[in-house]
Amino acid sequence: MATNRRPSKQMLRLLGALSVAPHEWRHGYDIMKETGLLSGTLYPLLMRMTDQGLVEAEWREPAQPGRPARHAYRLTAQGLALARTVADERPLPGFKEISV
Amino acid sequence: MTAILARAVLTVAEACLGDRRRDWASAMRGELDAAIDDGKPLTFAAGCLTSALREMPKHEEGRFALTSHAVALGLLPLAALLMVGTAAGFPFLPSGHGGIAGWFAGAGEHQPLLTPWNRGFAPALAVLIWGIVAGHLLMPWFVLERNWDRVATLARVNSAATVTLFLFTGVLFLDMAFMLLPAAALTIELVAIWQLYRWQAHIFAGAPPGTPAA
Repeated sequence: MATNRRPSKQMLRLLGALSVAPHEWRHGYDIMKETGLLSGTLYPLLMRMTDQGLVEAEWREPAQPGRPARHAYRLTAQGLALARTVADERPLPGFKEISV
Repeated sequence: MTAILARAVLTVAEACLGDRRRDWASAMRGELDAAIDDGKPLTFAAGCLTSALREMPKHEEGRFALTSHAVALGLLPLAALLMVGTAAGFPFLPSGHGGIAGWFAGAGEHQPLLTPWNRGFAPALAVLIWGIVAGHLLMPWFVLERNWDRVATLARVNSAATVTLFLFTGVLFLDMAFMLLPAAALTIELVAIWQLYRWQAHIFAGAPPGTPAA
């Protein structure tokens, strides 16, 4: 269930980063570096957005053997729609229009 | 060293997130290697712990864990009060004009309740009180472990010791007022633990002690 409240500044940053290439799966640490959000901000945001159906997550095999599997994230159609809506109101950092 | 510390912090975060967010705990652990490669494992782990702590009040399992810790921490001052009271001299409730403030300041009047006739019982009374103190000290540990069998055993032992102390006091014609503190400590402890037990029975129905919710 999506929230009706105006997304926070941090959420806008995350929406902006994930909507640049909406089909691409991103790892948590890469998102942190890209958005400048700390893990203490990013993970609660990702959890909430996943609960709301705005972000989807899936497990990815590790690139190097011996390392644990990693969670990867991308926007759902609902998340992308929200990203577009807020971008119309105020341009998101890094947002560009991509047809789906 | 920092990486080891970061792993330890993540383990705490994992425990705080509970079963409901187990996937997210694994997701955080999966990113730790990237943080280590980046040279910031501790910052990353500390952030994850903050996230986990912020998540705790949002689910019942987390609220139960927070309450259990609060109760456990709340029981420690009771034990400490009994301990300090015993160390300050039996009986530990102040009498005379000094009152509680005087007792804390060490200036309260002390009315020796043990007479030459019943002074021989002092070691037995002291052992009994120290037994109750030990029981109150162990109780928080078992509560946090959710080892309800041991909690129940300890509650019975504490109750029996307090009743014995009560009987001793009566037999020795001592001032019954000094029983107020152990009796109050026991009552508070039993009520808090009973409430926790009922709550956990609702959350962890069917789960063995110390395991996460199903």
